Amino acid sequence: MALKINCTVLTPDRVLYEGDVDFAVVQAYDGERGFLYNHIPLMSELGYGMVRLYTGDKVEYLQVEGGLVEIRNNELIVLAENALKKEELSLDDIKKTLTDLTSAEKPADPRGRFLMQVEIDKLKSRLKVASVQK
Amino acid sequence: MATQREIKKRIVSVSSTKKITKTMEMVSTSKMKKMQDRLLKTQPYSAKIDRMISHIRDTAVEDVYDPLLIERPNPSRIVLMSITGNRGLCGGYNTNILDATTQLKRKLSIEEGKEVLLYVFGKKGIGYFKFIKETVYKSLPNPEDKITFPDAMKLGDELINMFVSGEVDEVHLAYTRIVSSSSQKPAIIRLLPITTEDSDIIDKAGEFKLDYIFEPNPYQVLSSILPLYVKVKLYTCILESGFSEQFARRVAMKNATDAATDMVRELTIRYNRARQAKITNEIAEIVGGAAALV
Repeated sequence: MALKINCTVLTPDRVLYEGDVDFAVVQAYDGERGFLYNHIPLMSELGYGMVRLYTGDKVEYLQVEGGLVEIRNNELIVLAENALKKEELSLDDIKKTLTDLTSAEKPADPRGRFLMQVEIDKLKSRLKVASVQK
Repeated sequence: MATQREIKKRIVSVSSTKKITKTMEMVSTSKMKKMQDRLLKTQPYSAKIDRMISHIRDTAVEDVYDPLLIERPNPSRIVLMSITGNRGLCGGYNTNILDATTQLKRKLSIEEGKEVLLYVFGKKGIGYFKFIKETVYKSLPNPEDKITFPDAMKLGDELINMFVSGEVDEVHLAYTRIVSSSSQKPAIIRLLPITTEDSDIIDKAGEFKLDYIFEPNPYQVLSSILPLYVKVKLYTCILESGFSEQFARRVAMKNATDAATDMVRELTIRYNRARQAKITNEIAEIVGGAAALV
C-alpha cells in the first residue's frame, strides 16, 4: 500500500509541507492538475490558486501564487513564489482588501492597471482557498 | 602620574563601554542566529531550482535558449550592485565590500572603458560614495532582517527588466560570501546574463535522458524558472551579507569587550598603586611631623 507520492511544497522563505500524500491537486497555469502514484515526469508552470493534498481522509489546503511544479520518480515538488496555508488566511481580511481594491480607482498607466489586476487575481485565489469548508 | 580620582573616572567609563559592547555582542549573536536560520530555510529551495534546471537541460532542450542566458558582445553598460550594511561598528565588513566594489568599478570603467552604474544597497555604502563624490545610479537602505522574498523579487524584477530591455548589458553583484561558518569574504558574481558554466547548474546534470512533459513547453518553463533562479540567488546573497555583517559585528564587539576587560584590569592596578603611594606619603608626613615635635 505504499502507493504514495512524496510531496514538498516550499517557498524561498520556508517549507510549507513535506510528507507522503495519496493524491495531489495543483493549480497549474491553465487549470488544475492532479497527480497520482507513477505519474510521468512533468514540469509545469503554476498559476494563482489552490493546492490540495489528500492523505487518507485528510485534506490539506494551500494557496500558491506562481512558481513551478515538478514530478519525477514519485517526488512532487511545488516551488511557489509565494504560498500560504489555509489556516493563515483570514476570510474577513481578504474580503475587505478585495472590496477596497476593486472599488479603488484604476491607475492611469497600463503597467499600474496590470499590477492591480495581478493583485486582484491573487486575492481572489486566496478567497477561494479561505472559503473552502472542511 | 594621574591622580586617584582621574583613574577611578576612567575605570568607570571603560566599564560602561564594556557593558555596551557586551550587549551589542549578544544582540548580534542572536541576530546572526536568526539570519543563519533563514539562510538554511532558503537552501532546499535553491537546491531544488538547480535540480529542476539541470533536469530541463538533461531532457528535450538541447539548445537552451533564453534572453537571460545570452552573452552580449562588447558589454558597454554594466550595473554593479553593492550590498553593504546600514551601520558601522562591525570591523572591516563595510570597508572590505566597498574596496572590492571600487576596485572592480575602476577596472571596468578606466581600463576597459565601460560605463558602470552603481546600485548601492545599505546606508554605509551610500555614505561612502557620497563622501568620495562618486555618482550613484540608485541607492536603497538595507532592510536588514526585515528583508522578505517579495522584496528580493521586486529588486530582481527591476534588474531583470533593465537587462532584458537592453538598458544594461551585464549585472554584477558585490556581496559578502560565507566561505565557512567562521570566514566571510567579499565576492563579486555576475548575476546577469546567467553564466551557463555555473557549476551549480552543470555539475548536477545527470547522464540519463528522461521523457518529460513540459507544460506549456520547455522554453516557457525555462524562461519562468530562470528569473526565479536569479531572484533566489539575489535573495540568498542579501541574506549571506546580512549574516556576515552580524558575524563581523559580533567579532568586533567581542574584541572590544576583551580589550575593555584588559584595560580595566590595568587601570585597577594603577589605581591601587596610586592609592598606596598616597597612603605611604601620608604616613611619611605624619612620621615626619611627629619627629619634628619630639
